[in-house]
Amino acid sequence: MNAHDGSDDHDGHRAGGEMRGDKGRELVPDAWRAHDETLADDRPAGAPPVEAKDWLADQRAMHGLLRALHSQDAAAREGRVAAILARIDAEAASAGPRRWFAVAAAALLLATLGFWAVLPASLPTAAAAVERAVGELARDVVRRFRVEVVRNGADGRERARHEFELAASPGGRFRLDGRFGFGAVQLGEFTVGSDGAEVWGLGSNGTFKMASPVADAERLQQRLGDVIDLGYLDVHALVRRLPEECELRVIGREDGRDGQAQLRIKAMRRDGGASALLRSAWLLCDEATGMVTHIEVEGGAAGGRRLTLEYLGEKPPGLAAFRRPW
Amino acid sequence: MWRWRCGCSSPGARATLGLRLSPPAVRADNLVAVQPRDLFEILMREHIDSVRAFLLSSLRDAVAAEDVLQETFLVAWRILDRYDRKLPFGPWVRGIAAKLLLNHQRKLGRSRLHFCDAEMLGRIDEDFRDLARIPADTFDESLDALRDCLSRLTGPQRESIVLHYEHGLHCKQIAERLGIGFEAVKKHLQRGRAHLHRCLQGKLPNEDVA
Repeated sequence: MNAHDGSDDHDGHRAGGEMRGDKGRELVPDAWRAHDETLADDRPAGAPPVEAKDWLADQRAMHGLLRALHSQDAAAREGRVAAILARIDAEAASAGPRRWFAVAAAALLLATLGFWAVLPASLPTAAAAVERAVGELARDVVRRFRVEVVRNGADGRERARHEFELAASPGGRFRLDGRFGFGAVQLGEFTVGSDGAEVWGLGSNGTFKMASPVADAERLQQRLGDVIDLGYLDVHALVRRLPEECELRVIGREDGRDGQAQLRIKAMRRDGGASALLRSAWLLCDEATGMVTHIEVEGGAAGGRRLTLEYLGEKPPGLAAFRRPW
Repeated sequence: MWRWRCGCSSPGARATLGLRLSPPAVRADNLVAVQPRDLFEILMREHIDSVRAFLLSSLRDAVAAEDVLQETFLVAWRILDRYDRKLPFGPWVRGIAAKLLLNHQRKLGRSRLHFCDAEMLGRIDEDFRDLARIPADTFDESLDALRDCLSRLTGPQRESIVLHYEHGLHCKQIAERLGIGFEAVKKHLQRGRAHLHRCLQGKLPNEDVA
């Protein structure tokens, strides 16, 4: 493993190629730590100094191993293997029938090894899973989501990142709370909502108040600096549109945070529209409840925009006010 | 969550295949009698977890890692005839993953990809090569060494690592939970990872610790 060189920010001694303090602490310059992007919440620090690279590489390797360790899932692993083999077979099929014998041999091999005993139950179709999620989202309850919007420039660099909390119900009703920016001007807390007929925005400091019919929602969106596409916030409609606009594919199964099996589904826009509002999406659907627990949407012009919706659960009825408060 | 214990990588499965094996890793030059696709499946099952971990060390986003992982093995399959079967498969396929990361930097963007250049990825790969030297039949068994190291970690370093990686909390949330500062959490995480790295180094076979 990498041996480190470098100065120290404390008195220490070199042991086994590393700097350690009196209490066995690993001591490295703060400047090196600043380049550890695995923990950086702000913009990446750029190229690290050469002398820091060994330490950073070790940190990154441990980071990857720890992430892998805590996301191990046999079913998801099988799903990955199956997905890759399916793509290999699809390529082979499109290239001609010359590999049919190998495919048959692989099937025989799998049967010989008794993989049936460890393979997950057959995966439902993506369309069926999404249809089930749409049905679940159609229930008249208020659902909470954590929303993250990341905008990249044409050079691929991150330009902005926003976090909100969303309450959403079917019928185009939603309420989004968070910190908004109007271009370069950052405002305080802000709320955007819709009761299904009218969309509205309200700044907590009273500097902004606007409402318009849903059909004219784009005007409000522009006034909000295009921070977020309001169309994404009607989660029921967003998921309902997927089978119409996208090719859906089940990638595999994995465990959710609560240990429940989740079905991972990828949606790719059929026409591949580079500047479309929705180019591609990832979904996780809870197999027990059918509910979609995670949505990641990529779309938008130029460098694009990534929106992530993380399902937080239902909100007690009556606590979400979708109508404009004035 | 249960751990993967069965598959082509297991000694039993290899014995069923009638393959001559050189533990801990499948040596592709021992599999000359196997059809290319079957050989590839065996190698993929053997290495997919380590390649995924390698990608997770550079990609913030697990979804992007899944995409690049699939692409890595598809590319590996397409150029399998270029693979020298006398050499270990792991570094070869991670090399493909590294090239894809470098090629996709612009597309993925820095918000999704940590700093990457060939040198940095090469150094990360060195750590993965070292991990492969720890006697184990599978990558999961190699991770047993990490589990053991993790169990020896104590105090706020352990708490920070567990809250961050097992419970998925951000540094800010950990800081609130532990009642310490944000920067202190980052240092605990970095020092914890450094401890784990040293602990893994200590598990390398004697001839490797020079």
